[in-house]
Amino acid sequence: MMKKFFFKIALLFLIVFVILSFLGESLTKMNPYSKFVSEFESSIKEGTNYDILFYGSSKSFCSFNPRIFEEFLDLNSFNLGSDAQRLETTELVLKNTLKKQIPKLLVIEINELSAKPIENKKILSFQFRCYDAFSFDKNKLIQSFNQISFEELPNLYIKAIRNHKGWKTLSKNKNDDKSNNIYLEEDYKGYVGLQLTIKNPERYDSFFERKLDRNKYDSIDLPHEDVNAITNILNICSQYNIKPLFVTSPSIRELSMEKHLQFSNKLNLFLENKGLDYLDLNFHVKEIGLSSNDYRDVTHLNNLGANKVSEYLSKWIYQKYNIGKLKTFISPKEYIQNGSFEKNNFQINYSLTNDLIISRVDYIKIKPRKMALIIGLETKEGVTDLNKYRMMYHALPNNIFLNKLSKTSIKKNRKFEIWDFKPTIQVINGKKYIIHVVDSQIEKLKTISLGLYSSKGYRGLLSSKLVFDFK
Amino acid sequence: MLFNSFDFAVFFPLFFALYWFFSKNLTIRNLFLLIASYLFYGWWNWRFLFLIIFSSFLDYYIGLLIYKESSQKRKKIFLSISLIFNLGFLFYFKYFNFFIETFVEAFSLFGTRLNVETLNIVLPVGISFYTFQTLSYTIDIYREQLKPTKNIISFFSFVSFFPQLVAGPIERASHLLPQFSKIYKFNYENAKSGFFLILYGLFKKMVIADRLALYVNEVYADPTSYNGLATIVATVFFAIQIYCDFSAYSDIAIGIARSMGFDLMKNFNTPYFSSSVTEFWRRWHISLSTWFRDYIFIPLGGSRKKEFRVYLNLFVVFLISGLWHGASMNFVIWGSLHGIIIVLEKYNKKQKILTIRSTTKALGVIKKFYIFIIVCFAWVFFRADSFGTSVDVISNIFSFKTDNFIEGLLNKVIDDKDLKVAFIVVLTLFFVESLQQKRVLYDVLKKKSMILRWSLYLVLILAIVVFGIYGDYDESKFIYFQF
Repeated sequence: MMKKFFFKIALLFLIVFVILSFLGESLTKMNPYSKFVSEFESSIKEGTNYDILFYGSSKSFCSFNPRIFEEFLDLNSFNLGSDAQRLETTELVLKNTLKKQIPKLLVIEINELSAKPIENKKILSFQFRCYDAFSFDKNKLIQSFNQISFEELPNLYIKAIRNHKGWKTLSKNKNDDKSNNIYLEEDYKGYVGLQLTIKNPERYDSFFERKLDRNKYDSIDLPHEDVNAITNILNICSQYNIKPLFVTSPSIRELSMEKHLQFSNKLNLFLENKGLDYLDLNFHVKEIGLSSNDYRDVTHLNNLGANKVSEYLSKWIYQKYNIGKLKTFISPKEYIQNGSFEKNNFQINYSLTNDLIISRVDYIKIKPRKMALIIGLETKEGVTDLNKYRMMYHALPNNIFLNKLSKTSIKKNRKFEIWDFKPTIQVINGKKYIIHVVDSQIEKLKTISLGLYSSKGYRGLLSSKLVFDFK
Repeated sequence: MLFNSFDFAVFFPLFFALYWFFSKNLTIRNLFLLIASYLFYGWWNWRFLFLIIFSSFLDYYIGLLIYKESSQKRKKIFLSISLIFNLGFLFYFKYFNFFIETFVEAFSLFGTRLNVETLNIVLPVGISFYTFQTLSYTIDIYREQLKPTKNIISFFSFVSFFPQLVAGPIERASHLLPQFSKIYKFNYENAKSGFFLILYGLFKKMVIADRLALYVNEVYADPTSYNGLATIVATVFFAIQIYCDFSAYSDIAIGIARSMGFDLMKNFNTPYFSSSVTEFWRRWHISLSTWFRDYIFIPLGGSRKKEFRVYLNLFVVFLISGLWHGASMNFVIWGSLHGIIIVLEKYNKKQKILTIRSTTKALGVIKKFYIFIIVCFAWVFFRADSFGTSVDVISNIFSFKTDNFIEGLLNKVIDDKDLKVAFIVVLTLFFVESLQQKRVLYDVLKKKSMILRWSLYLVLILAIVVFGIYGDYDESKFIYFQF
C-alpha cells in the first residue's frame, strides 16, 4: 500500500510538473535578453565572427553600441549585458558564449554593485531572466547552486511559480514592450539606445567640472566578494586563453560618490597587480565630451552619450590592443580648408534674398550617423548674422536609405526628412559658410531643398525654393 | 519553518519517507520525530529550542514528582513550580512590555510620567500553544486524571510534535501522549485523507486568506482613506481571512499527523454557521475553548456557582482568552466583547427575555447572519493596530452610503483582478463550508470517481501555484503564530 501511495504521489507531481512547464511559458512575460542571446547564437550558426563581446549590467547595454565599433574600427561586436547582471551571472553568460565562439577581446562592464550580494527580489528576477536565456545544462545547474539561495531555486527553474502573477496580464505577456517605447532610438546587437534626457540636467553640471585624481583616494583592499567574483571570471578567461578588459561606464551617481572613486581605485590596483587593464570612464568624461545632457538618469547614458562613449572606447581599444582598422572622418572645417568643398561642387550663385547669395552646397558624413550640410555664402556688406531667418532644409534620401528615415517621418508617411534650422554664419579662411550637423542613419541623399523663411514663423518662403539633385 | 514555505516543501517529503522507514522501532521513530520537530522549530531561531527543552524537562520531572508524592500539599507545591515557570516564561516573553506600558499609562492619568523602559524581547513562536499543552499534562497528573509517562523521548516528542507545535490544535496529554507509545502501520486511507487535508489547507491559506489579506491590510493600514463600503468589505474579508488562515493551519497539522498515523482533535467546525456566539465558541478554536473550560472556567466554579458568579467566571474566561491572543488593549476589548455577549445570551436563555420559537429556515439564516455581523464587529478590535484605528474603522462603517457602489468597493484598494478572484474563492469557500456542515469533505470526495478526484487535486494544486499569494509578498505567515 505504501508503494502504491508513493507511486500515485510521484505520478501526480509528474503531471503537475508537465502542466506547470506549459503554463509557465504563458505566464512569463517576453524576455528581451533571451531574444538577444538567440540572435547572437543564430548569428554564430550562420558563420558570424565576433571580435569584441560586451558583458555586464544595464550600464553595459546602455553604453556600448556595437554599431559604433563597426563604423570606427570595422569590428564586429555584440553586447551581452543584461539588467543588473551580477559578476556571478556574467560567469554563466561567459561560459555559455565562449564555448560557442572566442572573440579577440572581452569587455566586462564592472561597477560597485557588480559583485554585491543580491539584495532584493527585483535584482534576483533580473538574474533569473538572464539564466532563462540559456538552456538547461551542467554549467547552469552548478552556477545556480553557487549563486542562488536554496529556497529560490524553484523560482529559477519553474517559471509558473516565479511568474505566477502573470495570469493578470495573460493577453499582454508576449507583447514586445520595445515596439511601444517612443524613446527607443536604436536597438542593435544587444545595445539598447534610449533618447531621453535626465530631468533638470543643469543640476548635475558641477559634477562634470570635478577633477578626479586617483591618488587622492585610499587604496585598501578590494572587498572579498569582488575579489572572488573577478578571480572566477579570470579563471574562465584563462581557460579560453583570452584577456578581459574591465570597464566602468560613466554615471552621474558615480561621479558624485567618493565611495565609488575609492572602489575604482581599489579595483584599479587589484587588476594592475594581475597585469590586467581597467578603464574607469568616469575619469575621462571631459575627453569623451560628456555632459549631463548625455544621461537619461543618474546611472545610465542616453543614446547620444552612449555613442560618444562607444566612439571613445573604440579608439582607446585600437590604441591599446591594436585591433581593428581605425577609420577617420573629416570635419566640415577640414573639408573646407583642404579645398574639397571648392573642388567637389559647381558654383551656383543663387540669390536667396537681396542680401544673401548661396555660392555652393554640399553634404558630408562627419561621423557615424552624423551628416553635415555645408553652404558657401556671399552676403552684402554689413550682414553679420542671420537671426531674422530660419532655413528650410528638406532632404530626400537615396532609395536604399528610405528605411532609415526618422520615426517622425515614417509616422507621418513622409519620404523625406525635415531638418529646418536656425542658420548661423561661420567664417573659415575669410569666407562665409553655414554649417549644420544632423543626426541620421541616412548616409546618402538624393535631393536637398533649401529656402529661407522668417524666424518668427512660417508664412511662406522669402524666395523660391532651391533644389539640388545629387544624382 | 512555515507550512507554506519551500523549506517545508523539501523537509516534509524527506521526513515522511524517513518516518515510515523508522516506524517499526518505537524509540527510534520517536527520537527521529523529536529531532525533526526540533529542526522544524529551530529553523525560526535555534535559541528558542532552549526554552522548549527546559519546559519539557521541567514538566517531565514535575509530572513524575507529583505522581509519586502522597502529600497533597507537596503535590500543590510541585504543580505551582510548573505553573510559575511555564506561565512566567509566557508572561515575560509575551506580556512584560504590555504590562509595563499599561502601568506607565495608568500612572500618567495621575499626572506622573514614569520613566520605565521596556525590553526588546523576541516572542518565541508558538509559546502560548505549547505552554498550554504542557500545563495540561501537569494539571491532569495533579488531578489524578493522567499517569505520567516514564519515557522521556515520548514526552519530549509530545511537547514538540511539529505538526501542531506552533499554532495548535492545543492537544491534551491524555489524548496525544499515549499515541507516542503505539507503533503505526502505514494506512493508505489515512495517508490519502491526510494529504488531501494538507492540500486543502494550503489552498485556504495561500489562495483565500492571503488574497483577502491584500485588501484587508490596505484598508486597515489607513482606514480614513477608504469609504464605508470598502471598510465593511475589509472587515468581512478579515473574518474570512482569519478563519481560513487559522483553520488552514489546523487542517495541515491534522493532515500531517494523520498521514503519520496520529490523530489530532478537530479545531474548527464551520463556525460562521453558528446561531449564537456561545455556539460560535463551540465551533471556533475548539482546542482552546475546551482548554479554558477545563482549566479555568471549571476550577473557578464553572456553572455550579451562583448565577452572578457564573457570569463573572464566563466573562473572566473570555477576558483571559483575549489576553492569550495578544498583549494589547484591543485584544482585551475583543475578548471582553465576546464575554459580555455570551453572558447576555446565557442570561437571556435563563430569563427568556427575547425568545423566538419559530424554526423556519429563513429565520435560521437571518440568525446566523446576525451572529456573523456581531462576530465581524468584534474582529475590528482584533485586527486594528490600535484602539484609535478601531474607532476609525467603526465610524467609517457607519458612514456607509449606497451610491457609487462599485467605485466604493474597488476604491483602488487592490487590483480589480485580485478582487474578482477574491470573491470567487470566497463563494467557493461558502459552498464547501455549507457542505461540511453535515458531511466531511474527504468522505464526499472518496465516493467520487478517480478522474474527478484527481481533477480536483490538480485544480487545487494549480490554483495554489497560480492564484496563491507567495513569492514577493512577505506578509503571508500564519496569523496565529504571533499568539
